[in-house]
Amino acid sequence: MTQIKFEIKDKFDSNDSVFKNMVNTINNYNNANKLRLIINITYNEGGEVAIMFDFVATIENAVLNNSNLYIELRFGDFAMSAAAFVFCYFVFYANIPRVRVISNTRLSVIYHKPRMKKRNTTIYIFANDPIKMNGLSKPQQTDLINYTHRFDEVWNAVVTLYQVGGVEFDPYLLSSYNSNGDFAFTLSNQVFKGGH
Amino acid sequence: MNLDAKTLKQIQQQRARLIASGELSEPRLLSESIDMDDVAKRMKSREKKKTRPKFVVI
Repeated sequence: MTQIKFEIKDKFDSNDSVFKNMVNTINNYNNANKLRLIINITYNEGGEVAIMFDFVATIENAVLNNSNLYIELRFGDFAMSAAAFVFCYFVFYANIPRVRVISNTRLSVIYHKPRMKKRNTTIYIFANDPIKMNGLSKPQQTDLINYTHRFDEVWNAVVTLYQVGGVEFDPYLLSSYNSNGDFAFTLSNQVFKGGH
Repeated sequence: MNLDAKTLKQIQQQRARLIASGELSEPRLLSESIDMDDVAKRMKSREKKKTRPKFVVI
């Protein structure tokens, strides 16, 4: 099987050429031979939610339409924010065939609600803060609300899955997520989703 | 809150069964709710921009 590697360095950045390169590879693929795309997402601090959603939709659409295409998402050390969404989406939420998720080191997952950040400031606006939301345009408000619904859906799947397995999350941590704080948990290195 | 591989697989399978039986709702796939033609255009046009938007969702 042919393998092609990509690396998303540090964070999801709309200026990162890795996304364009990945799409070109997928568009040029004709499903004739088996191909594995190995995508490294290690030490990832998060970044832009819009490009992360486009990334997820792209690989999801690609594997669902190409039976010989395999995706391997390699996490490691930490996955924060947007990267945490990618991890939780594929491991706990959407059961997409031929997408394999692994981490070769212990993985710290830090999940929180998306927030609108004013560039070069420390001003963060969450969708559940109506006063600050008024400072955004209608399209910005709509984006932030839609993104937040997505993050909440995936997060609810994570919590449900743990509960199904008989593991209850600490209520204090759940409260932290619901009040716009971080929810952090650590997982041992393993194959989280086989994908075959 | 660590999950070993065996436990994780078991509860993934159990969740799949609950979805199949209708007890849990089907996941809403991102690729089904986003216009993939728009995504392809955005992904292919990623290049260095001189200016960045004032607000960004992170």
